[in-house]
Amino acid sequence: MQDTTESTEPHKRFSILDIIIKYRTIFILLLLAAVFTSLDKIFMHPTNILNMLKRMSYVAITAFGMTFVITTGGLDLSVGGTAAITGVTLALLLAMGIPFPFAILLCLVIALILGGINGVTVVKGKIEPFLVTLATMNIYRGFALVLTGGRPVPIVSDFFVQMFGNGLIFNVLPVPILIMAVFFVVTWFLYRKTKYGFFIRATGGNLEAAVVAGMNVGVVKIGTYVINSVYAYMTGLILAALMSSGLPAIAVDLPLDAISAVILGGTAISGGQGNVLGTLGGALIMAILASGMSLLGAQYPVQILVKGIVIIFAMLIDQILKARG
Amino acid sequence: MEEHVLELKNLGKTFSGVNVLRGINLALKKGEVHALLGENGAGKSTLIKILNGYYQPDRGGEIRIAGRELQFKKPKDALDASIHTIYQELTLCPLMTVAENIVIDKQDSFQGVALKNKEFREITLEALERLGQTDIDPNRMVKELSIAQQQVVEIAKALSSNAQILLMDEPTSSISQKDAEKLMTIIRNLSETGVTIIYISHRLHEIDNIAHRITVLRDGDLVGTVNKDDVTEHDLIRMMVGRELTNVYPKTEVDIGETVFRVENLSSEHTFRDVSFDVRKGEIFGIGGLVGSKRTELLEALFGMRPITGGSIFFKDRAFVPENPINAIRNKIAFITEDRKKNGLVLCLSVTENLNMINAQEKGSAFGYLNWKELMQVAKRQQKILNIKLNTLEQIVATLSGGNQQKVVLGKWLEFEPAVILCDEPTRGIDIGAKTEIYAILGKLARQGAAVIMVSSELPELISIADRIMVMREGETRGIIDRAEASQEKIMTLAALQSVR
Repeated sequence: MQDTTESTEPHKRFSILDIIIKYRTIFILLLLAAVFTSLDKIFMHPTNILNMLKRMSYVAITAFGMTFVITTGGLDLSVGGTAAITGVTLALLLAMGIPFPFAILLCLVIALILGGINGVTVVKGKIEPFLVTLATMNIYRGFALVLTGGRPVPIVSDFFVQMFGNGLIFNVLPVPILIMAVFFVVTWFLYRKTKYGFFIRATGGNLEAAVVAGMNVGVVKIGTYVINSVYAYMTGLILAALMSSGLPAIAVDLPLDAISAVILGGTAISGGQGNVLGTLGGALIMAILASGMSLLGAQYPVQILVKGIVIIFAMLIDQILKARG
Repeated sequence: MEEHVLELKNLGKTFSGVNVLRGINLALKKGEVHALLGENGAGKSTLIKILNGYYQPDRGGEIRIAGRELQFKKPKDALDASIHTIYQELTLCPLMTVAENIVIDKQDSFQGVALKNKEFREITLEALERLGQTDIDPNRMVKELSIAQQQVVEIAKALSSNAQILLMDEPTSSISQKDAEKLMTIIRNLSETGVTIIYISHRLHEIDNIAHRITVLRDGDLVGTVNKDDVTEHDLIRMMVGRELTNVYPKTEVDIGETVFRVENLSSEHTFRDVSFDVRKGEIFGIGGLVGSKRTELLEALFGMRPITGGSIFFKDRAFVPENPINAIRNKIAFITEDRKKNGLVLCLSVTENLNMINAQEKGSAFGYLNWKELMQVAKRQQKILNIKLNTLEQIVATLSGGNQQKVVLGKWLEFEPAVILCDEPTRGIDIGAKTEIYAILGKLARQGAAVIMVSSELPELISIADRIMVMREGETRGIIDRAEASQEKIMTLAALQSVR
């Protein structure tokens, strides 16, 4: 009896406010870009932009994966650990003289297992994703540290460093940006155009309805953690290449940065409504903030402070919009 | 003139244009036990919620306490007027002690820094003593008590706040026969000490046992207030259901074929026992009963959502154990659930996506391209068949009206051509027009050879649409009635009376 919102006639009014609300991520992006450009012209210089995109690439890739997990109502804090294990293992394998393609494949297998552990523990153990991945975050990180005794492992393959990190396509475009673009397209396709993406959105939108519709929601959920882990693996490869070494203590901020990007992009933390393009926008907002503030001479402490404030405001705006209906 | 403790004048309630309660006039005497009776949806709960301040009545309605007109704007106002409610679902804090629970609403007891545990204990003991329930230890944790004992604590809590009027909403629905009898004694004693009690129950024998007067509601109208001694149980049933069937309920005539679905002595622990029935091809098999008769649970078990602990199911003469919904769906069983928001629809997805929820599962591989153009055609076809009113098929399903949402729930199963359709209250909370359309669709499905099992609390719906009706009461089958012999009185008698002669 609560739902008598008849809407049989077409929408009539499209106010400017509605448009701003719908595309708010884009408006925030444009606004930030305009502000930083006006403060310092260098901001819009192609070199700066490419640099910024290169630095956002690995956060964005992890955030794409995280979009799947969060859409089903989950969360994954362990991606930083997974990325660290990937980089470290790769460096160790290469140092042992194992050929590059095998090393990469072996790391992928490890990532699949790590994601599987997350997913199976969440689904079969019926434990909150936050708690499970809080624990595995420490386990995976600890594993990376133990493997290397806490020391960085240099990467001996220059080919690898060029292929995933420092290489330039047509002598302009850094490889990580291309990888990010490919991952964006793949993610968007998976999310919007495949049966699995549909199942993810249905499971997150209403778990009980998905169960009644005969979907295997357990497998769907486990799958999101495995996919997310593969994305974290890619991030690990890029980071290792950029650093020319496997660093066991790298990517500590990664899970929270990725989650922030997803949330800024309009994916609901409660699940159901996800938006891959939004996630890209969210990652871009954070990258613009970081890059702009660096140009203005703000140090890391100020940067994270501003980052936190921006996230809180984005949430508040979302909440207000939701209340408006 | 006699003073009334509580007087209602011309009380009504409208929810977004739907009038669920009209012109209620009622006057309660001090110390009386007044039973409120009516079918599901007759307006009892709405009336209770007006009395305890959760809902505000429509303009023009009056509530008078001891002759004084009062307006309840929030639940606290009703409590201040000494009206307390004992809900079906108990509202105690399980991890606190009995005494803590009893004083929790008494702000005077919390002055000062330290908690006055001794005073709490005294208040508690005094209240329990008034109820003659001194075997409950005030220091026990509430979660260690039985449901019946928790109910006593709940009543004690109200009494210690000086409750003059107690509203009890089906207080015996989740306690045993013996505990229910104890509760009857408590109620009788309370009434003798001058507490007025409004008692809602479906169980006529209880009402017969304790009530002084009875008010019957039907479809939001007050049918009558009678003295208990002036009426029989059958009079009451007639008052509850007496209504004309109109052409709201079209029945599609279908040739009924062989048995498709057979259930033998089916049980699920703590819910239902020894349920047996069979459903034939083209038949609409109705299941009637009151709230708590475990009809939904039966359907859930048939769909693999609830463990079966005894008995068997035969599907086309083959034994069939539904392990989970995936398994049930594979056997061409559909389940139109009761609460479309809870588990019928994914509200944040589009109409197209919801209509293809089942259908899409058979299309292609998991990571392959899902042809949304094709699925859109499916959605378009269902939308036409079901006459779903919408702007675009891309529309978020939450923005449709209740009736149209319900059609989407039906639509997602139609494309898959189910052999057995389980439906639970298929027309709850939707308008008459949409109802009629949904009956027509069910009729059509039956004619195409499906066996339909329909749980409904709406008696006219059962009688008009179903070919046979099984009546359940508290997890047991009370009888199966043929359409030709079915009457609302007959169903209510089976559903409400403890035993039938």
